[in-house]
Amino acid sequence: MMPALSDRVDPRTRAQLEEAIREIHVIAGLDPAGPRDSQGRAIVSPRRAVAVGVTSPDYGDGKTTISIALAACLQHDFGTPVTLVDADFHTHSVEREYGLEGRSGLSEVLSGSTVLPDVTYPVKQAPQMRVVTAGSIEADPARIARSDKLVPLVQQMKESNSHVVFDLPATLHSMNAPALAQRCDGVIVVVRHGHTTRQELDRVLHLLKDARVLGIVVNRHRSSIPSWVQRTLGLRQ
Amino acid sequence: MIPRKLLEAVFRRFWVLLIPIVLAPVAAIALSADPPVYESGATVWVTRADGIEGGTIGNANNPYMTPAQTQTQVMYDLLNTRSFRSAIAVAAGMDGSDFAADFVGASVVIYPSGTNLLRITASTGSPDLSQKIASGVIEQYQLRVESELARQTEITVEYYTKQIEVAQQELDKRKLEMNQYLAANPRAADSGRVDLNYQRLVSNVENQTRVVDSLLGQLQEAQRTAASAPQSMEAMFSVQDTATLPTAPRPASTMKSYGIPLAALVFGLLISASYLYVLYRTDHAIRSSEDLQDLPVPLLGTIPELAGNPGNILERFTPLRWLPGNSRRGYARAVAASISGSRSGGHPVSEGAAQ
Repeated sequence: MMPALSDRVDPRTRAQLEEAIREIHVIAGLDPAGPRDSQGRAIVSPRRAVAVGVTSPDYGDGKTTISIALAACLQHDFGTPVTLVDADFHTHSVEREYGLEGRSGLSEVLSGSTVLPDVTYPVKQAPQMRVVTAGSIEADPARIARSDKLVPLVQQMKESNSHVVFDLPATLHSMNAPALAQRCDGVIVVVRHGHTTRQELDRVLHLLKDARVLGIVVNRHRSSIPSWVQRTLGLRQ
Repeated sequence: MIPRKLLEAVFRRFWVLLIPIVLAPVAAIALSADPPVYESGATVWVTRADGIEGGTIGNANNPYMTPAQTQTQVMYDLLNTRSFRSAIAVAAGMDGSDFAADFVGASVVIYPSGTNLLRITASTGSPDLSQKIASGVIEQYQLRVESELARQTEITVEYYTKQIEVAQQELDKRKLEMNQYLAANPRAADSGRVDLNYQRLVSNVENQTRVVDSLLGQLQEAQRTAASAPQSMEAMFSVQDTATLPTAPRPASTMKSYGIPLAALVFGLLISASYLYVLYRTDHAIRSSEDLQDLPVPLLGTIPELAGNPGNILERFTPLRWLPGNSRRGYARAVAASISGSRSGGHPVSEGAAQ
C-alpha cells in the first residue's frame, strides 16, 4: 500500500518551504504582536487580527499551496488561531487537500443555510488551525463574492483568529478575486517563476487597485544558471 | 553586465543551443568527406618543334607561349575529342564507352610546371587505374604524333615526287626544244656568235634544271625528316618521370580539412545566437527580481521550486521533469500542509470551541 503523500514529505523540503514562507510573513508584517522589545514585550499595543487574501494571475501558479503554507506557518510560528478559508469557488482546492470535499462551507453560510462554526473544520495535530471550505451549494460565485454578509462574516472570523487566510480565485480568470480581495486587509499576489509575464502581473495589480496589495511572491523559483556561474558573476536572485 | 535573463535563457536551453554548434561542423565534415583519391602523375620534357616542319600536332611555333604551355593546349585539344579519351580508356583497361571516355576526361589534369616541363596527372579512386590512365595519356599522345608524322611525311614525299615528275617532264621538253633548235641552226652554239633564241632556250633549260634540283633536295629533306622522326619526336616530347603507382591517397586540402568545418561552426554559432536572441526577446516571463522593478508593491519573497517527491524517479531526470507536473504540485501542497499537521479531522468545530 502506497503511503500517503503527506507521509513522504522530505523534512528538508518542508524546512525550506517554512523558511521561505516565514520570510514572506515577516516582510509583509503579519506578526500579530508587532515589534517586540528585548524582553519579548510588545512595543505597541497588540494589533488586530488580519485577513490576508492570496491570489495569482493564473491557475497553477501556486496560490493554494502558498495559502496552505502561510496559514500553517502563521499558526506554527505564533501559536495563535489561524483560519484558512477556501474562497476559490471554482477549484475547491483547499477542500481537496484537507479531504473535505462535499462538506458545507462558505457558500452555505452566506446563503444563510448554516452558521460559521458548523463549517469550520479543525486540522489534526494543529489545534490552532481551522479550515473553512468553499461549500458545495450551487450558488453564483459572483453573488457570493459581492454579498453584504461577507463583511460581517470576515469580521466574525477575525474575532476568533489572529489571522484569516483566504485562498482567492485566480484574478485573470475570475472577477470575483478583486471583489473578495477588497474584503481582506491585504492581498498577496503569487506569480509563477518563468510562467507569469510582467504584462499579466500589471493587469492583476490594476484589477486589484481597490485592494491593499501587500506584495508579490515569486513561486516555484528555479534558476537555470549554475550556482558556480552565479557566484562567479556575482548575480543576485 | 550580462542581463540575468539572457543567462537564464542560455542555460535553460543550453542543450538546444549546443546542438547547431556541434551538429553543423559534424554535418559539414560528413557531407564534404570524399572517398580517397589516388593521384598518379608523369613529368614530360617538351621542346619547340624546330626542324620538324609540319610534323607536330597543333601550333608549335607560337612565340608568345612556352613549349610547355603550347603542349598543354595541344593535349587538352586532344582530350576534348572522344576518340582520344576512348583510346586512353581502352589502354587503361576500361571499355571504350562514352562513360569511360568522360571518366578519363574528368580524371586527367595537364599543366605546365616550368618552361619545358609538363605534368600529366590522373586522379581516380584506384591507384592502379590512375597510373594506367596517366601512362595511357602519354602513350596515346605518342601514337597520335607518330601517326601524324607518318601521314604528313607521306603526303610531303608524294607531293614532291609529283612535282619532280612534272618538273622533269618540263625539263625534258625544254631540252628537246633546245636540241631541235640546235639541229636546225647548227652554228647557234658557236662561240662568238650571239643567237638570242638559242640563249633563251638554254636559259629555260637551266632554270628548269634548278627547279628540278630544288625539288629533289626538298624530297630528300622530307625523306630525311621521316627517317629521323622518332628521334626528333623523342627530343620534342621526352618522358622524364613515368607515372608511378600511388601508395597513399591524395591529402585533403586545408580548406576542406579546416575551412569548411570552421565555416560550419560559425554557421552553427549564428543559428544558436539567432535562436537565443529570439528566445531572449520573446521571453516576457518573470524570472528574477529585475523583472519586478518599478512595481508599486514590494517583493515579499521567493518560494523555491520544491525538490519534488523523493519517491518519484522521473524527478531525478532533468529532461523528464515536466512529466510529473501534477504530482509535483500535489507534493508541494502536501509539504505545505505538513507544516501545521496532517489532514483535517473532518468534523466541524463547535461554536464555543470556535470562539
